[in-house]
Amino acid sequence: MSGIHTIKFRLNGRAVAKHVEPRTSAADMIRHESGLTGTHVGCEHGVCGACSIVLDGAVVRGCLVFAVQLDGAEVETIEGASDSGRIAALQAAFVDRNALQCGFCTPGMLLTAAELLSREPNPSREKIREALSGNICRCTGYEAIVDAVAAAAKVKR
Amino acid sequence: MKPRPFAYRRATSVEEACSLLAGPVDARVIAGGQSLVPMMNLRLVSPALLVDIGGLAELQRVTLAGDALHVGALVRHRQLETDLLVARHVPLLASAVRHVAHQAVRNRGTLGGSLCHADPAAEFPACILVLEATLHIASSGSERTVAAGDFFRGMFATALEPGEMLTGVSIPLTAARDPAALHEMSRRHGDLALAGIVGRRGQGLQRWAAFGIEDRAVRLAHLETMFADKPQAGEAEMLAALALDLPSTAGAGTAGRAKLVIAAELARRCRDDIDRAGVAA
Amino acid sequence: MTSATTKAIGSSHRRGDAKLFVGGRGTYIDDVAMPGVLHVAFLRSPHAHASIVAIRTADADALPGVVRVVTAADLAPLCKGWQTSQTYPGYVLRTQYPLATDRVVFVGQAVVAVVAESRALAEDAVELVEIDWELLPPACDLEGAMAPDAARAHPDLAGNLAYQAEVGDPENRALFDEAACVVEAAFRFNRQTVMPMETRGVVASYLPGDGSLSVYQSHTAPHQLRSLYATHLGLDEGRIRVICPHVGGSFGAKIHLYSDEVATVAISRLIGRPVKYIADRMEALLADIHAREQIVTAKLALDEEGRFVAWRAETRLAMGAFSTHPGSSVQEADEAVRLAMAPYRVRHVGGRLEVVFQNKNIVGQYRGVGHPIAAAIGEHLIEKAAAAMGFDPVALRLANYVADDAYPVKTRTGIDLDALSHQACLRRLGEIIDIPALRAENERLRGEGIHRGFGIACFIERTATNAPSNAHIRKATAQDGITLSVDPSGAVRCAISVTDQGQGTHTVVAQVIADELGVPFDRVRIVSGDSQATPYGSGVRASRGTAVGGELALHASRELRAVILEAAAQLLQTVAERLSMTDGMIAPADSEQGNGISLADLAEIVHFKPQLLPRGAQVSLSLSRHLGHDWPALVPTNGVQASLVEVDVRTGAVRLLRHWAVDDFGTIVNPLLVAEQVRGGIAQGIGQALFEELVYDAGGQVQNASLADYLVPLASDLPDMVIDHVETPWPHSVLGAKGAGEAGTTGAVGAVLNAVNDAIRPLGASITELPMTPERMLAALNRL
Repeated sequence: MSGIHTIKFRLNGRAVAKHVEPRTSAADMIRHESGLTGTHVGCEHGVCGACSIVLDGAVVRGCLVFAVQLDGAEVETIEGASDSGRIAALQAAFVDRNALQCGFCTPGMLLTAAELLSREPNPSREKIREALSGNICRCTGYEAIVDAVAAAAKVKR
Repeated sequence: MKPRPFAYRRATSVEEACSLLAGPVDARVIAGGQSLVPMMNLRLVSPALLVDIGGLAELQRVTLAGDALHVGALVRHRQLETDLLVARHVPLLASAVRHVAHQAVRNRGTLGGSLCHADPAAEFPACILVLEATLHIASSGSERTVAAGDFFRGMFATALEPGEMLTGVSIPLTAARDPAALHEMSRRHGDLALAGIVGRRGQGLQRWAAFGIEDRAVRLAHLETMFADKPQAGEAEMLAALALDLPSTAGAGTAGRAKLVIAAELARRCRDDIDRAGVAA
Repeated sequence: MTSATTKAIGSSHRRGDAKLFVGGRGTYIDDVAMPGVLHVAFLRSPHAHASIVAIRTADADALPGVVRVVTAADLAPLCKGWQTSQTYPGYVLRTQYPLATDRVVFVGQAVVAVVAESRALAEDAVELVEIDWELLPPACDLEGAMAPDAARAHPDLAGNLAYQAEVGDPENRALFDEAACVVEAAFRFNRQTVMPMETRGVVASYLPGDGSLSVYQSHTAPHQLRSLYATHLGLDEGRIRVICPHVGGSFGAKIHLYSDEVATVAISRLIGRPVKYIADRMEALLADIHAREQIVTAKLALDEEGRFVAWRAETRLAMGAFSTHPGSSVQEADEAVRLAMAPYRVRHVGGRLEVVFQNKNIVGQYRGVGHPIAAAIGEHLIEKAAAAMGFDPVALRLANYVADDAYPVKTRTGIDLDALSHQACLRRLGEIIDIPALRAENERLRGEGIHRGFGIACFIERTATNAPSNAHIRKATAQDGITLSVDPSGAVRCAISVTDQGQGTHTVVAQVIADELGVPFDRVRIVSGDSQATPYGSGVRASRGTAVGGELALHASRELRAVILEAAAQLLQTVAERLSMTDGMIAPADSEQGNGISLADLAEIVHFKPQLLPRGAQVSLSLSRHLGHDWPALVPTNGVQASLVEVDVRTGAVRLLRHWAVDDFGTIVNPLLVAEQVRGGIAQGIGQALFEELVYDAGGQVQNASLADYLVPLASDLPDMVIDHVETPWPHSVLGAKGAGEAGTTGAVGAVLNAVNDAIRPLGASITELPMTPERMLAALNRL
């Protein structure tokens, strides 16, 4: 009954098919079946944001979606966003501002920040802080990240 | 932190979902999964079958239906935040959603999921209590409605029977247009509320509810009476009314007392907001 | 010899590895793939204190996909158990084993391990293990821990006291009785945990064929681990290789050795197959080291002019069921008592510490280790005294500081201090904040019912350890090591014993090498975190990356530079003294162009065309050096922080408006990286002040072991922070750098505590329990 399901979806622009157990999370499948380890698993209960992925255009927690639910979906990971160049300005700003230390939260931060800038090209610092508040960073104290997002917004404009 | 094994079915209609839910195994609906999946990952909840209703387009709509706004159970929080009909007709919901978790959770979480999860600290149950909304519940071959006031039965407990699923909520437009306000206090932005208050003032009526305090969202009858009698009541009177409305909290030591003190201040803020909105209207 | 250029040291080089991380291309412990790897999950104790009567594993063992169910009895022949390596006279210790033997002593203790084909299956099997428990009374009450009838954390203990010490001057009641003013307070610092974003993890592979063991582990000190695994598992250290891949944060969590990690490695030895254990977040909250939990009473006596006459602090630390390993749990209390008031001239300073067993998880060494508490208690009482006596708190500090030019000094608690700058730091703070204007504005707002507070905390911390070893400490070696090599392309390879968890150690070391050797920064590549590839040394702990690693790199670079210039001199038919190397070009110092040789050309000749060198010349473009210093075991640093807060007196909410820090880290190699260390540290100090508390109930059950309930600061909780510096180079090293990793945390706790108290003092309220939750604030405000 809890058998294997075959799912077909698009991952970073490419069609893929996977055989998954229903209980496997999207994050675990992406990491261990697809080998895209930039999706980090930090809490597995939807709080930390390290496992963020883009599902049908919206950033979601990869640990709160089962892989089996991805059938027919469009999924983008940090690797896809990075390779496509769509977050290049943010990435450059993060490096320049040292807006990361250990790097574990960084993929989720970048995807979340990119979604914010796509909705609000010119966010206030307060708005940036609010938008990033679902992604925990334990290293930076966030200020450098806020600076980097603000700088990337300026570059994009 | 992996869930126990379960079977998975993706429903293609409400009818199919209901028949799966009515089957012999312990089945649960998964919509956005933002409340259910953490509990499954922690093995606090372990359904044998997950019925995924995510593909049911008919539950994803916000529509005007007569004198009510109908919000489908699968309307995501993000959609509530941006939907024009919600903003125009039920601004309370549109403002409440900003207190719900964080963007990535709002991108996925649904109104129906939040209501059925019945977290005592969640915003939406209290909102629909003061809006006196009606919940639409389907089961195999039949439908019924439940008033919001009868829906929440305790911590994570609702009036849903086995084999039933929530399909949507109807919010009466007259109620929705009344001046209303929500204030909550949480330790951090986006956390579940330490205490929260929702209030609405209609023609000669007061509707108030608290969340994050008792084991479920609760109507505040004494506070309503007090505000009806004395719109400009002070803190002491609000505290006294709240102590009657929230007896188990009032008896819960300093932690409970702190919640009441905070709730009284939140009620004052709601009252002041409502006053201002009333003047503006 | 002076350095040819200073352009790399002191500049904000960007981190090379940051470009990997922004693409999601880091390799963390769970990203380490190994063919045939099996997964480990632990059954952890649901009880704070209980005897294990029987363990039944048959059902778990029979579950398809389970490879082995492992109990303490299975591992007993492989591992003898351990106590802490860092001992103190009279320190009562109990032995830890990889898995609980006959008794569990805290909730979350590993009891049974399941090895299975997947983590999910291993968790399924854990649920099938049955244990018969016999509950024992738990010792969880810190205040009552020493009562004669108190439950004992281990039944064979005479009492719960694990360690006690008197520090500094003995108590002198007369000094307090006769003082013009005495202020005192009782503090409670509640239990916290570390919460790095990446949880701990181990991938271990023991090969029965040749007895070799490879361990990948999320840790900061590979050589330390290698020694410990050899010791605890009775293996030949020479056959063990430990690799620390990218580490997703440590802050102290990953300088320790945990029983589940030893169990995982022992299991690989037991079954001869590669195994992987990744802690999940709940396990991390329950079983990663905890920190801070102390109750402190302190008092300060002043004379009429506001001079500090006497100080006494007494603390009791809830150690947990064992000492941490290899470093001990005592430090958290010892440093708190020893360093309180260390910035000041106080005639009489004394204190007492008690470390007690509890049926709770182990308290270990989290960022700051005791120093945040030392600063909070001393600085709180100073501001309290200033208010009581009507002194300006800034002036009161200035009047009592040990003057910047008075160092070196030894504190009355026995600590050697040198090259500190309290006066300069506080003056600098006064330059970046108009403190009188800010206080006046707060006063004005108070009239409008807005309760703002401004607080200051200055501090000393001792970091950058390079301690000579006592006994079998093996946590910080007396020497660190480096190997520098110039490849034929002129690229410089550096293998070094200090490691990088994102703070930027690699970048800083590369900057030092670039300058001291005279090569472009981009031509230096650093390898660390691999016991087989790097010389022996302590890794990173206690903010030692730059102060120790940078100094080591400096000396090695200078020696290699001499070798290079000597070889070049032979080729250029001159003498080395006339040559210098800049940006990888070797030329006479007074040269006209074209008269030199590039390092790449020289390296090409040395590696491939030695016939071009004078006959008999043997040039080695590779050298290894070790550095053991004769400094104090810990390098003192100092700083001052300030916080501006707003208290909502109706809800008890505290909002942070602004935060400032002025630190003295000696020579700053990379200002950008240092500033972000401070900001990140401040965030954790703010966590302690306002948010973070791991709540145990009276029965020893953890009430909030989820990330939704253990509250670390979020982006929207924190203020912008102004970071500034005073630079007093450490006089006992050439580089002059001190530790910078923990100062942010150390100063922030007291600064926020003082700011909150400044806001509520006019209401007759005060608060000395952390974190300052809304409920505690309302209680302090007498609203409950």
